[in-house]
Amino acid sequence: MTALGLLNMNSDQEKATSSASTYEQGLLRSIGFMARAGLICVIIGAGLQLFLEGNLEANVALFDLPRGLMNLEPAALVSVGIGCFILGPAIGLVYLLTALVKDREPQAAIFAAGVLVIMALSLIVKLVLSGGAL
Amino acid sequence: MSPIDSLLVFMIALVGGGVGSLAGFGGGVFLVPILSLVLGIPLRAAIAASAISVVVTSLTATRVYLRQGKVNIRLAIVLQLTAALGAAFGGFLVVYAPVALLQIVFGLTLYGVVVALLRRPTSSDYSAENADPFGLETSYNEPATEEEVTYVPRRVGLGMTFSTGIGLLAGMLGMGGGPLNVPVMSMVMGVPLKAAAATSTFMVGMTASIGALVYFAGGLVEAAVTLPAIFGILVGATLGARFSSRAPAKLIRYVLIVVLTILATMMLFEAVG
Repeated sequence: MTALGLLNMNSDQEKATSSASTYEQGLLRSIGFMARAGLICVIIGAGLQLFLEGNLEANVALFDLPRGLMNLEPAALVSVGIGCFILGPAIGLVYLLTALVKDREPQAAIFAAGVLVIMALSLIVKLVLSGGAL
Repeated sequence: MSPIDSLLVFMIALVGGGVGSLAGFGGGVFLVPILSLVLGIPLRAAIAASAISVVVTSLTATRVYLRQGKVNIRLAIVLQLTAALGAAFGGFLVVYAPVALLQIVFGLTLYGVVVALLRRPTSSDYSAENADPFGLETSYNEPATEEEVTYVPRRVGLGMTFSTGIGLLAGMLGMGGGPLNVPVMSMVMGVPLKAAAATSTFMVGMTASIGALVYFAGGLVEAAVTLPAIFGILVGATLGARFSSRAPAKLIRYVLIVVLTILATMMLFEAVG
């Protein structure tokens, strides 16, 4: 193996290492953002709900969220927060998918896309089975 | 649900999160049976609360492991594809299957977790020389020895098959699958134990979120149960991680085995009784 070949392999390895670090940093940012957003919404919403209603009994369904948020219902904010938590891993996957596509790693990108498709289909099938009503 | 009940949920989740963290898995295995059997919370609501708690715990813990560089992101994505299929199907079963079936599956799964605890994975015989068609080779720095640990997971197909089953159980039962993921990765796939735990932590969030998405869309999420569960598990897991170095690991493991066996048996009796 020539020195040039070794040099290329080394620079490939360095590139791979820096790509891996980039993925980790990007994942940290994306899931960190969703976790913080969820926590803020849940704390504010639950605090308001407890203050105004004295309990956490009210729940806002998915399709009622826009109306609930427009009416400034604390339970809607709580639901948004819970939604942020649930979607945190999905947002991390979206970041990974875009990064893998950008880095031209088709095999890993296909797997990431597959997981996202399954997540989306789960929700769509549930909505269809419920007849669109939640 | 009264404020006292919400406080009880918080305390149960706190203990579950702490003990689970000491044992190396999430609090879901405790939370669901105790909430449903002891507090009388509907099983589906307990499962939904547990799943979301697992997602939150995973989001928090994954950030720590990502900083340590222990998460094998590519391996997680590969295994997650089949786990996601299982979890999606499991999530639907929660909404439509009879409660008794869920209780039976949960009870049997808890027995499986007991067996996994009894067998307890030891350090795997990992290798960096395995064939690597999926490009899964990675390394991390082991602080204990200050060495770079490099490995290539093996038997990926078998790992994916196991992941499907684990995902199905996780989706049905509101768990993350951690107690089952780690033995599969370390004993079957030759992943070093710490990397297996870190990668599993990353995976359980994705797995649990698929089920949680279906529960959320199905209106099974009750804030009065879910919010105390989330905060209880978060606080408990944080405290558990903080005190893990001082905790008597063997004693905790034996206590867990006894408690889980009791819960599994209660769950099965509830199903047939």
